[in-house]
Amino acid sequence: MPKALAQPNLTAGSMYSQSARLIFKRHRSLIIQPLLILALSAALAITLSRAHLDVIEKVTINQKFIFRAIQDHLILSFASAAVILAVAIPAGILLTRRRYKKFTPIVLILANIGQAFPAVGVLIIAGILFGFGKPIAIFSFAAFGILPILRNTIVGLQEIDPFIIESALGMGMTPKQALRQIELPLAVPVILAGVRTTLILTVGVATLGVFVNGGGLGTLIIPGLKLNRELVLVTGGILTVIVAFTMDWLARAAEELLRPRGI
Amino acid sequence: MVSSSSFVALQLQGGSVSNTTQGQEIRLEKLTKRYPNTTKDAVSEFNLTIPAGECVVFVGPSGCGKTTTMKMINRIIEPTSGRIVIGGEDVTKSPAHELRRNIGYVIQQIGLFPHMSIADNVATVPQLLGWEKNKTRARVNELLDLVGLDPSEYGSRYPKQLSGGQQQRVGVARALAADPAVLLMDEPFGATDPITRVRLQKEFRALQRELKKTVVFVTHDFEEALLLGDRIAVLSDQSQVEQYGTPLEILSAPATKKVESFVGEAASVRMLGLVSLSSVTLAPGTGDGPTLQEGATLREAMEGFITGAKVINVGTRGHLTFEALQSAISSTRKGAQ
Repeated sequence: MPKALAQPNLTAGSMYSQSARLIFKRHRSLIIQPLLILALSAALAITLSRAHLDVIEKVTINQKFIFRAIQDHLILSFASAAVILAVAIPAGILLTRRRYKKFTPIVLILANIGQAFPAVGVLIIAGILFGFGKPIAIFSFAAFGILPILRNTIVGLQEIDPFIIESALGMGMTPKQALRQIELPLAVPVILAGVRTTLILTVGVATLGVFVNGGGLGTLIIPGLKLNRELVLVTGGILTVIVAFTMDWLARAAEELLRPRGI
Repeated sequence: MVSSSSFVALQLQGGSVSNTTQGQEIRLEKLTKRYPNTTKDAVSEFNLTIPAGECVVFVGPSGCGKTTTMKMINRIIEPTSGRIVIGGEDVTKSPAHELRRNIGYVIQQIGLFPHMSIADNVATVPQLLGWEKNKTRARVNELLDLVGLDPSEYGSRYPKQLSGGQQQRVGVARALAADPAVLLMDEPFGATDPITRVRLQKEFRALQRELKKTVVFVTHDFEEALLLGDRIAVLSDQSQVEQYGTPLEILSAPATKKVESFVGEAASVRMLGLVSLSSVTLAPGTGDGPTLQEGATLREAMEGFITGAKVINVGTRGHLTFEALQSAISSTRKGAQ
């Protein structure tokens, strides 16, 4: 617990500065990370604005194309993350209920297979079978990224001290009330850690969206590779890193905000 | 730690807590638990009547089924067969969550909700029962006071900011919050250090005398059973009742070999602590020796004799000699048998 509580005779001023320092210490990485992201973005922007572009490079290195690529990339990542959340969290909850516990190993095996399959392979087979475009990219990425949240939801719920749940039931909570008021809030930190992993994972695989005409930053990386234009390739790569860093930062901020006090 | 002062205050003021529900009788009839894939009952046809307002301690070696038996009363463990009757009402089949809201529950592991403030923890059952906010808040403050924790200081803290002993005080307050008729306690003080344990035991005894709940208390500590129980049920394997009686009855007339071995050596010495000086016949007048109050026990008188006193004065009523103490013990033995 914060030392400030144990020292009631501190003056208001020193208490303020102490708590400000404390906040900085606890959130140091949360404050430094956006600065790094901004610095990286600025460096990239300066480099691009000073570069002499040839005709091929000009097709992709322009504001309109880049913004469109970023926008598509965000759509792909967020949409697949949303699909994952909608499936994995309820599934994780069900799989920790007594009645469905027996299915946990088999579902985890399936999710592991989903992640073990090469994402490109899944994506292209799905594209051939169901047609090209964003929706198919989103569902393929979802299949790929379901494991972290599913596993963390299960683990987060399983590792709650069983005596806390026993006493919730002993107080007269129904199993549903115990789930909502006790189990889920206590599992939130672990579940959110899974959400963060999944978001970063989907930002990464979303670069493959280009293979099924889904757009995204892959539209810079792949042509950059094929046409041997390093600047285009690196721009796509760095932009992906920036998006991933930003997602990570948002998710960690959410973890800080949503973490129940007292644990 | 703010300690027993508030308990004392409670006793002096008499009913500073709005405690309207007194204990109800619990009747357990042929209560049996057998776990799947086992050949032996964990608890076998357990019969016991727990009188209203008394504290009954289940004591026995670990693995004898005492906790299982207790947990069947609020059906945290569902009985395989048998009946549970509380206050004349068969609750064997009634909805478990409604039953439990009327039964206080305290476990050794305490089980406070770590993400909720102390006040919210205590408010758990009132909130489940849909009490009004103001009533709940008032009740929470009252109970934290009752267990010796200043609500303005501790109410907004979180469980991990409290010591083990303080946490268990909160556990007791939470169990009492909705003023239940029945309290189930599973080794509630077992995880605290010896000094805190003794203090909590004494406070709980004072509290129970005031509130007169029906308490089922599980422990493997025979000393604790003697201290807290109005009655003790000595249990052996499969929750067989070896003996069910007052602490004095069990000490002075163990019914079976198993009870005898559980009581152990020095039954008479242990009895000293159970007999109050007020029940002893004294020689008139005061002698040359230390003075004890009427509420003190023979054990304290014994302490005086061992440290060299020839006589012990009891208030101004008279004085006690060592021979009188001996005969008081032997007549207590006979009386109990």
